[in-house]
Amino acid sequence: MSIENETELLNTRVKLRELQERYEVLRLDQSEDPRVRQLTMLSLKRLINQLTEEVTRYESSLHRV
Amino acid sequence: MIPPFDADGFLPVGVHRATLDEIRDRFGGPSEVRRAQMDSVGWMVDLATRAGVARIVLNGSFVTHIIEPNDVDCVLLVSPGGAKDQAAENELLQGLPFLDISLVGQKDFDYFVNRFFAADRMLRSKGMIEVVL
Repeated sequence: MSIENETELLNTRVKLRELQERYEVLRLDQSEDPRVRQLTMLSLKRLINQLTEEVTRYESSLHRV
Repeated sequence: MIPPFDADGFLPVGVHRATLDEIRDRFGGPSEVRRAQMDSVGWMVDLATRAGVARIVLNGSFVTHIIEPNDVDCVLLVSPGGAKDQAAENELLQGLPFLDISLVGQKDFDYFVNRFFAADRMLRSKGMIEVVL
């Protein structure tokens, strides 16, 4: 999956920020079941990394033009 | 029954429940890529059932009209307590071809279904598929 235009970039950034916020909330919340918390944090982190890479690749491609 | 696609090639907004057979009939072909993705979905559902996953929702280009989708986004709801089958859960964590699997608790499952999966990158609202377990 790759970002195709500025609108997709903007919306991907919004989703990325939401994922980062959810990750941070979970990181600080020790009340969640430990296994569920660990699995959720792993999943969120993987998506955060994926979207970060996509945003960076798109921004990098703009600088090459 | 899985509803027809809208004018953009997406499922109508909402979570559409379907059996694995219905999903295979609708999305498991005709391309070789779709057949391979459907095989992975079948393996994932088997592992998830063994692991004790409570709900599975499928999203991504697999559940659109695209002939050769990129991937299948999956969110799996995990319940508190230990896994029913730790080996099966570990296999899910290691991943399966074509599948982007997220294992999450209830709050984040709701976020995925109601927000993250509910619109594409152009903010077009779309539907998704829940596998009947």
